Amino acid sequence: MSTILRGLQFYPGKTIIHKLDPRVKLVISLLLMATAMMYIEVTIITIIVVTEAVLAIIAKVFSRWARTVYGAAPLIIFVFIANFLFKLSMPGQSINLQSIYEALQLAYRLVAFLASFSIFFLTTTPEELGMALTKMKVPYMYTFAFISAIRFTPILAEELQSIVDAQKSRGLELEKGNIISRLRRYIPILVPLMVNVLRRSYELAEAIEVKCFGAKKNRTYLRELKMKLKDWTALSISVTLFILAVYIRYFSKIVIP
Amino acid sequence: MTILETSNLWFKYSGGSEWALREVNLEVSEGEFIILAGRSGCGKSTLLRCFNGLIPHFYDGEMIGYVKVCGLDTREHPPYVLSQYAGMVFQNPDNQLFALTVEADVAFALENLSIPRDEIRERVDWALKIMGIEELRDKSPLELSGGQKQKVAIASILALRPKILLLDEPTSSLDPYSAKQLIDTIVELNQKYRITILIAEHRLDMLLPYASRLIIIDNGRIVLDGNPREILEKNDVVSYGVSTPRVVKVATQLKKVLGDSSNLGTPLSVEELVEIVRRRRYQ
Repeated sequence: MSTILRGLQFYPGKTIIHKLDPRVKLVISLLLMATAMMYIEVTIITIIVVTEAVLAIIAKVFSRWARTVYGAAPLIIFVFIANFLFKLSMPGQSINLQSIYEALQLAYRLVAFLASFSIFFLTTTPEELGMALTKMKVPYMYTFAFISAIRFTPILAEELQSIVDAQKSRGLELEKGNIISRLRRYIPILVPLMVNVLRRSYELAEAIEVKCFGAKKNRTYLRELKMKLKDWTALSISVTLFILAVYIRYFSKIVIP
Repeated sequence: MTILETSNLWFKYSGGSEWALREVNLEVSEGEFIILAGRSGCGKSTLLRCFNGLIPHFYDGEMIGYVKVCGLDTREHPPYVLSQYAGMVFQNPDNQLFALTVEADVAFALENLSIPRDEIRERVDWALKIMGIEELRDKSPLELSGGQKQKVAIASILALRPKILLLDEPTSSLDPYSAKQLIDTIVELNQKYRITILIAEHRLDMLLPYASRLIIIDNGRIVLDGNPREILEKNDVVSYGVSTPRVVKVATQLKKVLGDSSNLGTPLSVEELVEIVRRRRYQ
């Protein structure tokens, strides 16, 4: 789990991919995923994954990108097994190479999915995401909730750690016993954590009150996203490629190996 | 010119059995630097919350009397209006910063007030500059030290251009060095930009030399109000949960050794004491 989360973490960068408008990046990610939805063929999925790898290299996030995909391995294996068992449970199916191959294809498609999301998150700051949400007319209340969730997650993690340390130093043993007694041992961790969170939320409410939150219906924004030439270029290239992919799939007679 | 006044102010939190504030009468002139002292829970924070409308708008309770901030009655104006006259900085800097960059945090309140972008930019630049944190502009709050975070919190309030700055124990989570730096900045806001300061603080040693007035609160009541030197000269403030600054203690001991004719007075800073002693030697 932590490896996947690390894959979703942002590292500042100055490459062309980082500087693209987050909305364009989101569209590209979605188009890549849509393409992966249309095709099941291993060749096409490989082309998609390679494209994503190239994008990751351009953005200089290749190793972290690869690590996310690697971290998702348990999930991919799970999808493979689930599909395989599902196929077996269909009437008249038996274990053969064909069914293994088909389950593999589905799992491979998942790689293309995750990889496309990973590039998006690795090259987009949460703040840009917030700005993109604003531009998409999402009410500010939700954008604010999103931003503060990202802002306070590390603080809560730190708080959790210090509570765990404090309780351990009082003799609490978390690694002992069976699942039920282990869960019970987490109560002395969760109760103080909840109390702290409640207290903090009260202080936060006070602070946003002082900072005039919700004072005016129409909020202004210091920074705003603007589509530039490179954004339009990237967008038109990817849309064109996507239309081509749709055409090949549904309207042409090209046989895909 | 009176900038802030309370008249026979009483307040009881809903659910509380005791009055948190009792018969508070206060008049503050523009440009003053006031320290509010007293033991924890004496009503300092409650009083500060009356000055920007958090009481009675955010906290429920029973309020008697009135508070006027720049002529505005706090019962009739919401906190977002009053905050543009009396801005409040809280104890824990982490709970006052919501954005993912310093710049966005300083702009936050202005955006909420739907101020035009050019003016936001100008005010953000100004607030960062007078707090001396321009180089932190693009940093995330997670990368900042406690002292830096508190400076950002002050900048985010200053961007509202308040005439009065209310500070509720702003240095309590800071190490002595960062606390000193923060207090120096606050002093500069008062001396250079004529911002009226009301600060609830336990670290009297650092603040006293700059304060124009010391108010000691005990059990919701103002028990002492006046010139810091006179208050410390005539009263034993320890019984109100306020620690006497060390330099005052040293001077008191010296007076005992040297006799009452020593003319030491009540120095509020080490520099002052040294100056007095040096002058005596050459007399």
